[in-house]
Amino acid sequence: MPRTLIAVLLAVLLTGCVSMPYETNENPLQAFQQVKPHSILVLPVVNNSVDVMAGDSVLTTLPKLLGERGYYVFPVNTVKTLLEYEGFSDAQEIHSAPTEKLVSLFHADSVLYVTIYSWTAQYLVVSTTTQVDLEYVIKDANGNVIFSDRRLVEYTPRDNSTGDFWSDLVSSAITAAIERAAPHYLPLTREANAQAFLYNRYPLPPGPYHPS
Amino acid sequence: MRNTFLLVALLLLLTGCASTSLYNWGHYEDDLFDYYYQPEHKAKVIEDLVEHLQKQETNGTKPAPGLYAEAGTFYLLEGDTETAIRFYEQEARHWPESEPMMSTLIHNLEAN
Repeated sequence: MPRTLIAVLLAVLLTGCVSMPYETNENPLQAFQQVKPHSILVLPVVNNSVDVMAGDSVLTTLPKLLGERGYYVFPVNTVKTLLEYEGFSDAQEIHSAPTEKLVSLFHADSVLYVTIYSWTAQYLVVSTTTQVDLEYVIKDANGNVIFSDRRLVEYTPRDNSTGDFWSDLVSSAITAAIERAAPHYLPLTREANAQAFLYNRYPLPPGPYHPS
Repeated sequence: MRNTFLLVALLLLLTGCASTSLYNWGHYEDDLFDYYYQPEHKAKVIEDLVEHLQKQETNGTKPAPGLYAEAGTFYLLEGDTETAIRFYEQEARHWPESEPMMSTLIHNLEAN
């Protein structure tokens, strides 16, 4: 490997690890840092795409990411179930309810609203790329937005290349077939969530249980 | 020689960036997704979570947030309110943030 390439990679990695300092007057997380939430209530996801499994896929992969970031995350399936008992079974209806009401039901410090705008799989011969458009909004107990991010994420499942063109073509075709039957939901949503909360220019500040 | 040094530094950085995790989540993500879309796997999912929580207890490690409550809800949906309450109590004991919600829930379940 040429030395310059390694040096460039090293530089990219170094800057990638360090979170950028930003000007206080344009810090979009100022309100978040003032509220300093301890717990996050993750609501059922509003899914405007035609893919029926997309919403639960996003919901399933949020607790681990947010919990590892140092927050108490209300158990998503328990929340979903209790909201159904309360007569809220439609995610859109839940998102339209006053934040104060939801907060008082669960005694949460903050509420995460996720909306899926689109979820499209492009079927190609050798691989399938899924493109999703997602929005993440965190509101404080009074309903003020304290974190917001919307992004387009593309995901192509990795397959193990053998280096041989023909066998690669066959195995890629198999990968594409599996992707068509049951797209790689969880890896995709893990990636999207991580991009929104961790690899963002303004990442979600660490919560009270985070060691830093 | 320089190249090897740079490569080692690169490797160190790569591993250094991967943060160590705070909790052991078991198969929470995959199991919950399975629970939603493969109803015939429900019993297996519940068993897996309970086993995971027991292992954490034995090891004396703090369970990930929400897992006790999720186990409780799985039992609640199976109609086993008593076991559900036991898990909700555990969630409240480990996580003070969940205490108000868990007490309301337990109170309502006991009233029925």
